Amino acid sequence: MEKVKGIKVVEKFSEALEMARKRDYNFIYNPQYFEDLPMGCRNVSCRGVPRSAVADFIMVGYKVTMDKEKCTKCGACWVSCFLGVIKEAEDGYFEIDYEFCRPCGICAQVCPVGAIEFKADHM
Amino acid sequence: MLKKYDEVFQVKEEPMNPGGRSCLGCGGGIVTRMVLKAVGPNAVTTVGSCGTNTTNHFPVGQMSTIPIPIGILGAPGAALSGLEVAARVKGNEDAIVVGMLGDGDASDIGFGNLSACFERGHKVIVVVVDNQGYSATGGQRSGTTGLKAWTRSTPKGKSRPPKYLPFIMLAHGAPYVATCSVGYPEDLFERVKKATKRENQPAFIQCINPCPMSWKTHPSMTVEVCKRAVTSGIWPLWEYERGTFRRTIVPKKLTPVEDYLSLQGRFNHLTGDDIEEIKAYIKDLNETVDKYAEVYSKYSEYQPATVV
Amino acid sequence: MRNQESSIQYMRGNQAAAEAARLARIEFMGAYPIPPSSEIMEHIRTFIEEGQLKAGFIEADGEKSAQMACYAAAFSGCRTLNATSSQGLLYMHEANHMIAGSFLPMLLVVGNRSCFAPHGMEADHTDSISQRDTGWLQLYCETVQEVFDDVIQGYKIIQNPDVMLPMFVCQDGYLLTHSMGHIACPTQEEVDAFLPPYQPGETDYVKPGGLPLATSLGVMDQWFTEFKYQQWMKEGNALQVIEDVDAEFGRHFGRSYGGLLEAYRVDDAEVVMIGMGSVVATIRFTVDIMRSAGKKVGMVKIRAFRPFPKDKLAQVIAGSSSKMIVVAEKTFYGAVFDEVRSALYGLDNAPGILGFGVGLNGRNVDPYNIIDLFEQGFKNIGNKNIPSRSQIYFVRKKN
Repeated sequence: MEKVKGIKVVEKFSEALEMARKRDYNFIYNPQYFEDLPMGCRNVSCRGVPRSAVADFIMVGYKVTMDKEKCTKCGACWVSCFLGVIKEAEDGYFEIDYEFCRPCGICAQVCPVGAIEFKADHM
Repeated sequence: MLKKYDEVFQVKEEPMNPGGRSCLGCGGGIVTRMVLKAVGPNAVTTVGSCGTNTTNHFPVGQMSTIPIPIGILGAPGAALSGLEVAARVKGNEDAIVVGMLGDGDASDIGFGNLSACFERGHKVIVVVVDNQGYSATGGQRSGTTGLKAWTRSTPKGKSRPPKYLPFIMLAHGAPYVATCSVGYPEDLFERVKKATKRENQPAFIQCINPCPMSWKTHPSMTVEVCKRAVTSGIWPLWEYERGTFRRTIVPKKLTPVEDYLSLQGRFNHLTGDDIEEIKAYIKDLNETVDKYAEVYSKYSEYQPATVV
Repeated sequence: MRNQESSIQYMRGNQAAAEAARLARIEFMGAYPIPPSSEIMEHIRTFIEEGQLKAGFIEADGEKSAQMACYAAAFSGCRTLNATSSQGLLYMHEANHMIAGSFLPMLLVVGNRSCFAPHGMEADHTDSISQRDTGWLQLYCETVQEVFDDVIQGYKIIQNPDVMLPMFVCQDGYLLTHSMGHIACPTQEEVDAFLPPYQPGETDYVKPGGLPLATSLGVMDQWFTEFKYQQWMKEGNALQVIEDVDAEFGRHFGRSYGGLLEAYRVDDAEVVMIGMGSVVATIRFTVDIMRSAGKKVGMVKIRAFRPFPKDKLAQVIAGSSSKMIVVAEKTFYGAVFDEVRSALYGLDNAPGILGFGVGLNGRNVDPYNIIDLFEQGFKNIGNKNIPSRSQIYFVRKKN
């Protein structure tokens, strides 16, 4: 029976680090046990299974940047932010409050013209 | 600003204080934002289980800017009923009582409560933040978990289709029932705005959103995966308002369901046969929705759906 | 029953509780019917529909739902009432912990009835005593008049800013709930003078559009202890507040019940019996009979089971000449016996303590049974091997 081609799920931290070093980011990091995660998780009610599919520490070094040249002020990024950290500036463009952005990359994915870039500093 | 976002944009204040502890890419955050924007400041709310842990932790600070009794897992309908009656006794006739229940709270542990609240006809709005599982306890199955999905308690895939709550609440005689998706947040805002009208209460809105941990999706794909849920037909969007039934957002052409399933790690184990079962389920569900539309929509004027 | 003038009325315990709640001007009742307490909910509903009481009312789909609705109403600043018994009280156990831990005052009238299994319908204290760890205050009533008075005193106690804890007012199922008695009903003005309206502070309740308050927040290990310390302090404050409110009630209405406990003919008694609930009336009567026959007996009535008056009880017993205590309680596992033992620990010349489960599930307790228990007490004076475990009392033996 052929299986559906799905997204690659990686459960061990060492493997995730290995792939990240090779600049291959096409995976989901979903560790199953505390030992697989080098840092503590954010909430403990799920019995210690880290709650982030991609733990925040892997996103350390990632940044979301907006390109005003391409931006059409459509508002899709503002509507889709799950924390509400995107605000409208006086000139009508949108700006991100970097103090609270974590980042997740939703705004980069929904932008219809690709004006938002979501990548790591070392890329 | 796109025209469809104009109405949401009227509410410029963020009703959630920053610094929430939800997981990266949590769809529930988008639902909370839209619902709280739509109901305004003269409101009181309750949250489900994930909401308990992520929105309010002492002393980090409270995420919600409106009052909220927490920890009511298992009795959401009762708490909403009590809040509503107490608000009227205290003389606040315009207060909106909105509950953001988890799907486990609405369909399993709190189902009896929810049913009784609707049977008594309290003027409340119930928004079900449907992430298809018990996310707060690690990602076990719930009544609304999708067909064939992996969860921590169904490692080989859930063998039965989800409990379709919107039809159940229609049978309670609720004047307003709708389905939404975080793929279209402006649509959720509009539905909740309609639900704030007194004649539309008790209102029931079920909004599908991903839990990146139990769905095994990439955080940046939160909005995209729920868009594909609508365009593949596995989660049709419709609203029923006091005798009229219409589809709110329809895809121009149904996209293949494999596009929706391949974004999620919880469907990695599916075989060809499983996909056929899911396609049959989609066909059945959409046929039923169309039958409801046929029966109900002849009683009022027809408002065309948005085509995406 | 709907009186405009202070008068003597003839009513059952349930009617008395409902009438007292009406005079106390409650603002919300959420309830679910269960024998023997269903009647209270029905009376309140009738009062609301006839315009005698302006309150919100929800008949919920279960006791847990009813209690959660009361939680939400108390959270919104309403003076709240609930009424239940036995299995219903057990069903709402989760909500009870939440309400006490959130410092939301409300009153619950318990018609004490035994808990399953086996399926019992008569008077028994197992249901309310099983809630002793929730943090609710508990008052036990001896007469129908006391049921009426305790509802009014109860609201005054719990809305005191030093207390702000919920409370059970316990009346024996069928023995008090359905027994008629003559009670003195005050007028609305007299009750208003004693019990001011419920005005919670800015941060004690919630209103939409006001401060974004929350209860039952998630607290990690850092702050849970501090929250529980506040609850512990409030329960300690309740010891004094219960005494003060009872004394004030006595000044207003001419009747009081001794505060936390009442000592009856204890000073020169050799054997003292401790009881709770309606059996106290029988014990009181029996003490008088035995005294007139020359036996030196006395009685202590425990009115407040939570917070248990340990210091006051130790004081009363130390000041008496008693050599033996007999605890007669309506539970089979000796809850009151354990509390009394721990209260009297360390006393010089401490009396021996015997414990009995008496009158379980409404088995009749008549004066002969009480005399029998006192005789057991006299027999065991000086016995060094009193059982440390509470025993069960069946019936008096023939001869």
